[in-house]
Amino acid sequence: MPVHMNDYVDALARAHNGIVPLNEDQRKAVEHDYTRPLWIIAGPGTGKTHTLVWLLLKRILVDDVPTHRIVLTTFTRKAAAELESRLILNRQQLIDAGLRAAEAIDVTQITVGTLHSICSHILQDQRYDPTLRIRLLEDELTQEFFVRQSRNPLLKCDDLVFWQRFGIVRPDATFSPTQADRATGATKLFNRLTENSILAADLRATADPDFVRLADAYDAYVMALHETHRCDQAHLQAHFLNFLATPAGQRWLGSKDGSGLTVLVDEYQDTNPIQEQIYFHLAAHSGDLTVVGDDDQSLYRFRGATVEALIDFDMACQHYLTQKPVQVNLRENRRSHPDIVAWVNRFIDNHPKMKDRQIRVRAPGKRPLLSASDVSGDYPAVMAIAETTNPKAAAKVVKVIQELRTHGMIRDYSQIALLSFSTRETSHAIGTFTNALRAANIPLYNPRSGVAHKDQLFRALLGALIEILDPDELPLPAKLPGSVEKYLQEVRDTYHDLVAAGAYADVKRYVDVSARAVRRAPYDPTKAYNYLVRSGGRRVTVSGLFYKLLAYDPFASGLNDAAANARLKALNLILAEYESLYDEGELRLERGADGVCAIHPWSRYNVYAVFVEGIHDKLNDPEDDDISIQPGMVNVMTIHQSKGLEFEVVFVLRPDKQPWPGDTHSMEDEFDRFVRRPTKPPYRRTRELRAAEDAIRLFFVAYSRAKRLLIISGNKIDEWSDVVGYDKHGSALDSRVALTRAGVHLL
Amino acid sequence: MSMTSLLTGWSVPSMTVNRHIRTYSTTADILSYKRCRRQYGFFKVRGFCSATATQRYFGTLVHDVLDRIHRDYRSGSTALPDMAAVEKLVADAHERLIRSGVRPYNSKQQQKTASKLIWRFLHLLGRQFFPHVQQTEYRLERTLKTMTGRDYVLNGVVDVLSGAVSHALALPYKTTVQDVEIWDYKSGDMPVSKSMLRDYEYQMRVYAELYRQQTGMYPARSVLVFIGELGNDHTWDMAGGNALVYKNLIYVIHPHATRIAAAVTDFHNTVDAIETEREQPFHCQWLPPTHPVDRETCEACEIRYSCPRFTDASRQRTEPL
Repeated sequence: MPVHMNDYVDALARAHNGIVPLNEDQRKAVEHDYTRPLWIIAGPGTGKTHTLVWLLLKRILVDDVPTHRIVLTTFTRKAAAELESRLILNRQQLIDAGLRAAEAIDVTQITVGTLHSICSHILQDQRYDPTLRIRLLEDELTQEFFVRQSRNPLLKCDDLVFWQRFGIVRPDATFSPTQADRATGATKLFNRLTENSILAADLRATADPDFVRLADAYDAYVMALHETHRCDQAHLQAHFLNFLATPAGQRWLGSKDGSGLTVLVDEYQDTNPIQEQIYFHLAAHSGDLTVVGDDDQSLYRFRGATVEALIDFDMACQHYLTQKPVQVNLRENRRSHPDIVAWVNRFIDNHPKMKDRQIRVRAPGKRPLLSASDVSGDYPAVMAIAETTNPKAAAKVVKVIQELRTHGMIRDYSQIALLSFSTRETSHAIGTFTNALRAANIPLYNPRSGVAHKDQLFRALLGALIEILDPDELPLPAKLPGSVEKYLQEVRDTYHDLVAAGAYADVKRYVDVSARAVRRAPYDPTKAYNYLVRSGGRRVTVSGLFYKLLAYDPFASGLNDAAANARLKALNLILAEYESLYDEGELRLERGADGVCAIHPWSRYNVYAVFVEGIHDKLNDPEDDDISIQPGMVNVMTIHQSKGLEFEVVFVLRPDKQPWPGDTHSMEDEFDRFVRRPTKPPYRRTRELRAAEDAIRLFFVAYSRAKRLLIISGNKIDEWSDVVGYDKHGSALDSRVALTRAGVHLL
Repeated sequence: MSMTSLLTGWSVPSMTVNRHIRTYSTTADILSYKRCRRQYGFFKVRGFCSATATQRYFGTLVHDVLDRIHRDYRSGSTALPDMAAVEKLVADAHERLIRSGVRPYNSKQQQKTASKLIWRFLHLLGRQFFPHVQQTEYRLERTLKTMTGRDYVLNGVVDVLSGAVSHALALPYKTTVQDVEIWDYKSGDMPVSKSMLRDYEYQMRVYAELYRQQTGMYPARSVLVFIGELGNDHTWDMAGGNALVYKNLIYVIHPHATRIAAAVTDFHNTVDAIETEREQPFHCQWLPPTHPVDRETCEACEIRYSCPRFTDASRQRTEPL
């Protein structure tokens, strides 16, 4: 028996000390009657998740939507877990407030997750034949390993113009990309084709040699996926779309009474074209579609997202569902100090690059955020540290953090975040800042520093592994890139330094006896392939050796330390991905004329040229799926990582470092003619303008994470204008004077 | 100017606490933690990748083929496959597993065994069994609260949800035509180890409670089918089409409310123990258990070489490779 809307609202009020916890706009969204789709544009700090959860519970209780017919997607696993938790807790609040009907809600019957996880789950549940027991390539690095392993034709393409055309190498490059860079480029191109449903035949029909080459390579890639029963993330969605078109898919789409699914999509601004298609197919039977997002916070163009999906949602609805949606704008910002709200409003509303007379750059009808936070205080909440050099700026950042902590103005370091476009710890990014914090003994957490591969323990373990596999540094069948050779030497040296002068004798003994065991390994010349086996006959794998080494100090002790544990895990996970593609990590042998065995040259080459190449110049720490903010430490994050989070104090570091026109924008241009979707803009802005949009949205997200204090810090102030914006007269805030005039306090 | 004098009216922010509601399952979490918390913490919580996880070839092969036969039957193909058709289904499932990266030892023999067991299962039970199957891979999931008030989600999947199968098979206990049963296939023999059988019972009792919460009543019974038992040729020769000749083929767990409640209480307590462990300082988490761990669990664990609970650790660690 459905609950009356008034009873639902009364229960909400009872659960919140007599006050309905929804403002006028949020209430409009929650009370929507679903005669038309719902289009919620939710600015930062306006209670998007809060509204979504109360809306969903209302759908179940008041609209009588069965939980098992609800699909709720969001962008990350963390966000999905949070949504599910909030649903459970809010349901309990309703029960505690006396709404007995809420007891019958079984939250677990709602399909909640990222679209990838939901596709995977449903395809498995429905036993869709092409994806039964399929093996998923988990991320881009694994996909690149696969491109290498399957010897895609693009790996042989040394035509510099081809790679330049798609932005894979810079226009001024003089050398063709390395094998690893070709694999990266090929992966990006293939994903773009799949996500845009571009057919190889259409590319081929142009007779343009570059497109024909790409079509051939893409076909080879798809065939290799099929033959090895693998699937990348983009193809998983393509499979799902295909499934929906089958009779079984159609049966699944329509419920027993034919009413179809209720579909809610969070973070819709980062939807890509194939996802847009999926959502409209899911809602095709019912027209019951809710999308929530903020175009100003769209960050994932580089992964194929098209912000137009949200901006032009009304057109897409008209096309797919033949009706217009109802638009609701959530504007009341309950997160930030009024100065910060004013700063983000000025930034985005006045920005000339966010205006275009021919197409929508922002969602229609957007109005400024309203400040409604309980954070107040008569102080300048937006500050800047604009110095001539980064070391000077870093020193001031350290001083501010120390003062805040020493004077008890924050309770924990984790209330402070340092955000930047890139958090690599080099002088080109934010290395100067992180070094300064460490020198001042300020604890910090920076999982995307890209330096896991430089960690001493990590290098020593990798060095020990290589010492077992290749103690005599035997010749390889092909040349390695110089940087990989250098890195291999470094990791060997790190291992030798570790065990020098008798230290860690146990691990040295193990490595030495294992290297000897390789040389003396049993070998049967009558067999086509011989593999390295340990006593008992089981084949040795690289991972097996990794775990053996992990039993020795200093690695065993490292497992008890969070940071060292993370680094060793990074090595373990990538090794596992590599092994899943290369002989499950098993090691082929060859025997020399002297009767001495060694790991087969191609086995060694693959370990070096694919696995080591993949990590030798940048490796992030694995991130915890549960914890978004590490307690007790200043959290250093990329702005992308900070999406959905909030901090009391935010430092935005290095505003001179911004997204630039790159492969994403080149591919958008090159593939534009093949794309057929209803929200495709009638004309495409220049690469430069689209890159500027990306930068503006990125910094909009960064600024709006701050609750009490926002401090923009760096040097080269004359390069900040795109990302600090303009005043209402259209003048750039590209000097200290201009910033002061705009109300920014300079430290 | 110092920050304190600059920030007039600043109020010290309180710390926000995010509550995570995690999902737990019987085998992957609770039993795994109870067997060895170190192994559980290392692989399930901290997320290291276990190479042995992909190697469960035989069980997956049997399971996939039976699932396929169920689906074909439910989509209207009322004739059950003969031996040749079973062999083809096994070969297809094998091919799929191989392509997905599972590397079995002596796969030809394992396929042959799987085909024999499945065909015998179909021959002995199929005609009475399949018409009663209501759902395969039946998902059970509920939000629950531990005794200390901690929310969590409990989930599980049973192989078969069926109508009055035991009744149709005339199994030797009281049944009715209204019965709803949950059946779970085990590809091996009935375990000799009592602790393993206890684990199976525990799992089925938790499923029974989940089923009750989902539908309002317990299943009439939970049934474990040890398909590996059908490999005994001598018994087969004697069976003459009578499944009951295989004494250990079918193991029934009746819905005993007290025992189910005890299993669920234990489940709650284990969830609390795991959550408490997660809150410990990093170096104090997931220490080796104080209780003995069975050898099979240790041998399947890649971090056994440095584990004080594994009696053979020192020897295996110092062996080359």
